[in-house]
Amino acid sequence: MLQAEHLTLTYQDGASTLDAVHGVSLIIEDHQFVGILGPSGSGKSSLLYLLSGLRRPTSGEVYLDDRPYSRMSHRERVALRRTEFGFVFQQHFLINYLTALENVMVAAAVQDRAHAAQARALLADLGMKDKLHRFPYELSGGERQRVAIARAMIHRPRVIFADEPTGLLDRRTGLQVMSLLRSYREQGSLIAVTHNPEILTEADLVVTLRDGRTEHVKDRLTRTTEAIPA
Amino acid sequence: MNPLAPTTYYRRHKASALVQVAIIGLATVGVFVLVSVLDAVPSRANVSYLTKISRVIPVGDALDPGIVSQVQAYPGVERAIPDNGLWISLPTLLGTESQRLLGVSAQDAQLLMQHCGVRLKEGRMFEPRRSEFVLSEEVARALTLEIGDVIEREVDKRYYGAVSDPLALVGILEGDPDVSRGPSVRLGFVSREYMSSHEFYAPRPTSLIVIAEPDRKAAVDEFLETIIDTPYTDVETFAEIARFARMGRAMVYVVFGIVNSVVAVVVALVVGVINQIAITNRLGELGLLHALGHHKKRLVRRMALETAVVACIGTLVGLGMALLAVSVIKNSLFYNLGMEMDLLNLAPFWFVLPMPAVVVALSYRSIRRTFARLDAVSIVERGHLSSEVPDGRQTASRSSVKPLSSLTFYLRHRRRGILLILSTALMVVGTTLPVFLLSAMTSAMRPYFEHLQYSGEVSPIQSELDPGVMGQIKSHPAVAHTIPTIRLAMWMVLPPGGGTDVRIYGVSEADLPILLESFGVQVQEGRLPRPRSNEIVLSSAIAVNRGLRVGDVVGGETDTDDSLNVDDLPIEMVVTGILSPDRPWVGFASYEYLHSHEGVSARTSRLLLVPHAGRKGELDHWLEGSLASNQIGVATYATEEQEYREMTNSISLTFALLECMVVAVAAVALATLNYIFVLQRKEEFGVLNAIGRSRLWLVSRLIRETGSVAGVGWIVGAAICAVGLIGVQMLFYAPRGLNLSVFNLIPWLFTTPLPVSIVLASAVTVARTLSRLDPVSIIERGQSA
Repeated sequence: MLQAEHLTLTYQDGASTLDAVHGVSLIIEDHQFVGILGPSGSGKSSLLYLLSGLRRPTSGEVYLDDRPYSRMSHRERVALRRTEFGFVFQQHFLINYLTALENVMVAAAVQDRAHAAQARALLADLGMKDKLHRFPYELSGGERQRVAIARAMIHRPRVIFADEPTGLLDRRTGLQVMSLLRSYREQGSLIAVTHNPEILTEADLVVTLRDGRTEHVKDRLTRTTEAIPA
Repeated sequence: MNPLAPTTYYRRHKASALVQVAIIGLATVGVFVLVSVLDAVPSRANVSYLTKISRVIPVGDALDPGIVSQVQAYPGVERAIPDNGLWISLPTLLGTESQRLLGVSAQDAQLLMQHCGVRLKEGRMFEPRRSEFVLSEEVARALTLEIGDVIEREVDKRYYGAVSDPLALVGILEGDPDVSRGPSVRLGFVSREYMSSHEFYAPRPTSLIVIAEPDRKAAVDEFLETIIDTPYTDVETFAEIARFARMGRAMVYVVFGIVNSVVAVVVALVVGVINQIAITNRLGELGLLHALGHHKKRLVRRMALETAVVACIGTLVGLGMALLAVSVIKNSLFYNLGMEMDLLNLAPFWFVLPMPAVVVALSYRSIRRTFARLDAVSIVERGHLSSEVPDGRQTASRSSVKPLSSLTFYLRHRRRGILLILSTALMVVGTTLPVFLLSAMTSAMRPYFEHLQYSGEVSPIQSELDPGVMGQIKSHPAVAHTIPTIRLAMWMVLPPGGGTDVRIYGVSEADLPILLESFGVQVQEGRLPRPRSNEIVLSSAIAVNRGLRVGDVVGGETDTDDSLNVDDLPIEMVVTGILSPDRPWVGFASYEYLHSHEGVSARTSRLLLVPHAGRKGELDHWLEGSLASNQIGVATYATEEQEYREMTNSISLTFALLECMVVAVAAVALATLNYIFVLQRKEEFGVLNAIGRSRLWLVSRLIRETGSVAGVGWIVGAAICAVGLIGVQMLFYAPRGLNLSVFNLIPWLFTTPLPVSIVLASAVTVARTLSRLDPVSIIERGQSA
């Protein structure tokens, strides 16, 4: 279980300060699909960075199974990202000189033949069987994002963080990519950040942010929508 | 203001310009200082008095009175002053050099000082008949002597070996700025009256100092060299010294020409890569300009001009810093050694100037190649191109199981790998070859004293061995044979321009078989010299080195045509035999003949001592510990080896210092290149860090990558070097009867700092860069792009 308590992230901008995230609290259960929705600049990517340990909050705390991030060393947090989390970004961020298969292997726990076979199977499941040895510049945008998804899944993380995963894709490809990401729910949680509500229709929980604050939370399972006062 | 001026881009991209200026500047400093220092070594300031005077020296025990009259009567000669002085030595950058203390009267000393533009700076002139001397300040400084200090053999055998009795320094001389500007003439004086009345010094031959009339020095020198210089009379003129200095410089230029070329090429490669990256980043700008109607040729010209401007600035900055560094060296190290360095010497400039030219030429070629593929439409359509595109847009048929290994990276970036490997290899070659040649030269010298493994040599310092001492030697229980000899020398040529003396012993017919047996040599071809004949037998190594065969004539007048040969063989000798094996390097002539010949007879006899079997150690111990004194010189294998070690250590130390500079240039250049490559991969590192690879892991991965290419570069360089050395051995050394060992560890040790420095310098820059790595900002920047 991933839990955020009163998260605040403040940026210093000269003499003034800016709260990218302000007092956000959130509980994400295992195998849950959580969407973080909001317009550009609402702080949704910042929240994702806080939840994944890429950024440290100015105040508040994030827990993974009751283990607070603040008690973890830098090395432990890096190891957490490597073993427990997977990442899909708006841009694919694939390494240009590595093939599709090699890009997936980059995130494998161990780089050996067994894991290579797993990576091959994963890419085949994502419809990339014939393009294992293609370089990123030989792939379409959708194909690159599939490789990025395979990279996020190869080490079977407990949580996949997806930051605008369909932002640069056409609608049809975007929906395909989301379908692939959603399929991971059987193995772990998925936290997707987007400004497009269409891709969150199947989300278990949708948190809407505005100006860094939680505007409302919609829980599909309990069919409740809770408005959070500013 | 012209926005397309060659300076605009770099004024707006100062970091890129600074990197290039720094690399070119640093290389300029390295090469300039290297050449300046080494070029100053053969300047022989210690014999600078030959620019004002000349010397006539007897080969035998005294100058022929006829020769003296002939010199005095020559129309251009103003004065001919007898000199019975002695030599002392002083430390220099590479070993030691000799300085003459002229033995003249007080009046003649004044005259010589006036003629040479020298005056008394401190203290007083020497008193007649007193054991006193005066010395130029530079020499005194090199020997750390002050007024009141006493020199003699006992104080330091290396520098004052010929000073049997104490001499006190009473005056320091300096150049008189009113008479001459520039470096002062080095002089040293000792009282002629004292020397001629001293029991040790008196028997030595007197030479002649020749002062020419104003503007007649050249004519007088020519007269001395052509008329007076004979097998019985040596002359020392400035022209002769200058010829040797030229030879020394030629060797320096050959050896460091290689280093310089390598540095120039590596610097050009590094700057070329930086330019290439800049061009790739500017493809959008260039495509747009081309689309707007700028012709490709004009764009190529503009880019080349930009590189030229940066290269010129780099060279000028480097020259400024180099002159500063050279001036510091001149005023510290060289000042302390009393050595001269001409800051206006043009030679280093000639070595430095090709560097910007090579940089511009290589960059121009690379720019032209890029522009040949320039397609304005595709660039405008695609917008800004990423520089992180693998070489040649390759395709792969299979993937690696270890995608983050160094091998995968360099297999996908072959050009980058080859560039780094080639640069490292070139640096290894540039460093190793000169060191190899020089250490080969010094190690090749070793056999000249190897015969002392089987014998010991005793010689009087000044005149003859005391009969009492002779009796002592003969009666020593370890001595099996006491063999009187007269020692001559032949010159072994050691490519590329060095050489060493090998000993030729005049030995009696009865003693020769003893020595042959003792040295373990026998006649391979021809026969032994007959008694009372001008015949000589030589080691096969000497014969091969000098191209001599049985029946050939050597020595006397025969060597004068070959400037490389500086044999101490005043008499023509006929080679009658060749000895084998080729070591030790030694030769034998007839003692009876040499003893009776007027050109050699004045030489003091030496003793070669052959020990009883198994008692060599005991003999050497006694010779070194009990017999050696102010009057008796002793040469054992240990003493010769110590001298040899001191010489090679001094050369090694100098090279180690110079090597530091080359390594610094190489490490900075290649680390900069590596740093640029790392900067290009920042996005990759950001993502790897975001998905859980720690900074430490990233740094260690980069160090492994750099280490692997530097290691491969070292191996490639070593292989090229080994091939080159085998070539040098086959082409130059083997025909000279020499052996250049590729397995000599020292030169290889000189190359190890190179890859280590490259890896260390890269590690430091990479660690610094990655310590500031923020994956979020990289992801955000990438997403906003």
